Amino acid sequence: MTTPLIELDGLMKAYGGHVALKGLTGSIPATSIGLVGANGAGKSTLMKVLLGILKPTAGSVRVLGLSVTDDTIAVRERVGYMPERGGLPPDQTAADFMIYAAQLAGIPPRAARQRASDVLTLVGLHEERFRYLGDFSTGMMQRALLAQAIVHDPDLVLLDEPLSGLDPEGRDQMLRLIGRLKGFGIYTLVSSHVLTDIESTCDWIVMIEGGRMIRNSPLDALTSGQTVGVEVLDQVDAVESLLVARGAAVHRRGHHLDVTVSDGDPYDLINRVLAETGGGLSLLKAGVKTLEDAYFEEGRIA
Amino acid sequence: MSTDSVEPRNAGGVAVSAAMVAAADSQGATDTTATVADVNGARRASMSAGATGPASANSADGTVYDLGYAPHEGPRLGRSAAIRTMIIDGSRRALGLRRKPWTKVIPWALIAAAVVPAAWVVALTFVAAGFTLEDAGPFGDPAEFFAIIGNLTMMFLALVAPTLLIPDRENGVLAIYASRPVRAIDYLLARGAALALLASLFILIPHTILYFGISALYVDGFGAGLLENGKEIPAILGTTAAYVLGYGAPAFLVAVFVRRVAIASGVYLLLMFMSGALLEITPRATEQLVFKLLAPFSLLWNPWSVRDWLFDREPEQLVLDRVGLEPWVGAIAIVAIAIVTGIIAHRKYRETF
Repeated sequence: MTTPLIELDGLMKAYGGHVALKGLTGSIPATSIGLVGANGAGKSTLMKVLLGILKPTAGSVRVLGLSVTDDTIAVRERVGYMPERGGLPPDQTAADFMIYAAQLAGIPPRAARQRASDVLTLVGLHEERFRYLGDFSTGMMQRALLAQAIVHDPDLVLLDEPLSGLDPEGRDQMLRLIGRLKGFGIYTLVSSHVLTDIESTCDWIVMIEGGRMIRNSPLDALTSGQTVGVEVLDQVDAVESLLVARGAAVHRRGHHLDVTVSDGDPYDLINRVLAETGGGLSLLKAGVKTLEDAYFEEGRIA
Repeated sequence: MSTDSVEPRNAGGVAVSAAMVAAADSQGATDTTATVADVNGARRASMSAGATGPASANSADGTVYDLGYAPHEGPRLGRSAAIRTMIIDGSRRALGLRRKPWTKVIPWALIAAAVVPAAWVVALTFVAAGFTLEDAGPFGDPAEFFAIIGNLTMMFLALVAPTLLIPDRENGVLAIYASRPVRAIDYLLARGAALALLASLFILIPHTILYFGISALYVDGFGAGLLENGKEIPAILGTTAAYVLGYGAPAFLVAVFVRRVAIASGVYLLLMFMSGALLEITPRATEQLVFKLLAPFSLLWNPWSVRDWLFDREPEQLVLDRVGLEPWVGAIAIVAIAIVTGIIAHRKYRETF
């Protein structure tokens, strides 16, 4: 039997008059999940609800098959969390804090020491383990935050903007680390507004916009359509209308049309439509639909 | 794309620690992409390149192993273990242990100020001929000694309570606690327990030194001295509890709200001395209701009243005496203030947990 990683049923969270989450419903399977949305969309609120820090105003949420509201402690034993900001005591060494973080989650002292050493090695901080966390660079702090999130061997780890503030090299290192977690049997829920990061680490996408869930699907279902860019000299309206009538999704910017078909050959379709409408062609370019394309399309629809 | 169930996982394809790699190496396993079965007969150690990413890199100099990831397969202790861990961590932080050197200076200076004079008096009993209990002054009387150690305890608490609470809050570390299987009440209990433990030791260690030292002065012998002075142990313990709770709860409450350690220390000391001023403004033998209502808020003097009560001393005309209240009212006031402090702290912290 397959238990979903996260189940949301009419989940609503309001702060006074402001409704941050508006009736989220959906089942998210056990895999690497990307949580996408603009700033203020409700991503961090959803993460806090998943951890049991915030209580839902209405609806229910289950994580790893457990009710977050009824079994908060049991959920937290199996979940790790990497906050977006802060989270590290500057006056403690990395090794001491990792041991402490593991023991807080119930790992016995001897095992906690071993695990602290292992995860610091994993994130590339073994050489720095006796340095004070306050002396760490931003990249090292982010890796230390990731280490504390997995030091107690959770089944699911929630990563809130794990790449914020990192330079390109740091982002690359962090992305590789996150990508490896699934291989360790740790599922990830990565919140980010940098869509390329999500695209490279996740295979399931949850999009939130204005507190509503606008997409909950596999990533490849979102980006698998074939897109071709076309620059049409004239008859643009007619070409666009006919393409849409033939089942293509068209994103128009002036004379430029991004044509996406879910089935069939887009070049063949464009060729036939141009012939039928008499439209002139000035540019034809193959395009790959990215998560960013999909996000803006979905955002427009929402 | 692939999705899995979330049924209990095993090694997750990767289970190798440094010890296992060493063991595998000693058995001649040079390729970490191979399955390492039951190293030392103790743990599963099945790893694959697919699970670990780049598992190893061979070079002319030797083999660099990616140690991978070992799932925790042992027991998980409960909330009580987490609370114990937080008490130990809190005690270490307050004393600057396993922290930067400068964090040790003030707490240990205060500890020295509490312990060294007591130790000095005891040392004198052994080296100075004719040194008597009268010569020891307040150090020779446990009840009197509380007047000295009480003020030092207040300064110690002014430092320790903010150190226990404020950095976690201001550095965002509470987010980590909130993601662990602990509740706000566990966190506050642990921090409160650390505070109480340290303050109790701060008071009782010098008392213990004096107890043995003074006992040594008895003409009937050390054993007789221990027995005679031992009669005061319950009063010492009770008064210690009154000082710890009576001075500790306000320090804790201030630390719950103030954002800087130094400011919290200052606010607390100011609050205590202002409450102490009640003694100056309360007329002797007054029947006025306003003074009767204010008297239990005499944070500075309540533990003194409890001391007089427990040691069965003539009251020192403190605030409670002046308004005609019994000294034990001080004990009730201390407990009530501590309970209110706990409720307020919990209301504030449960928003974070």
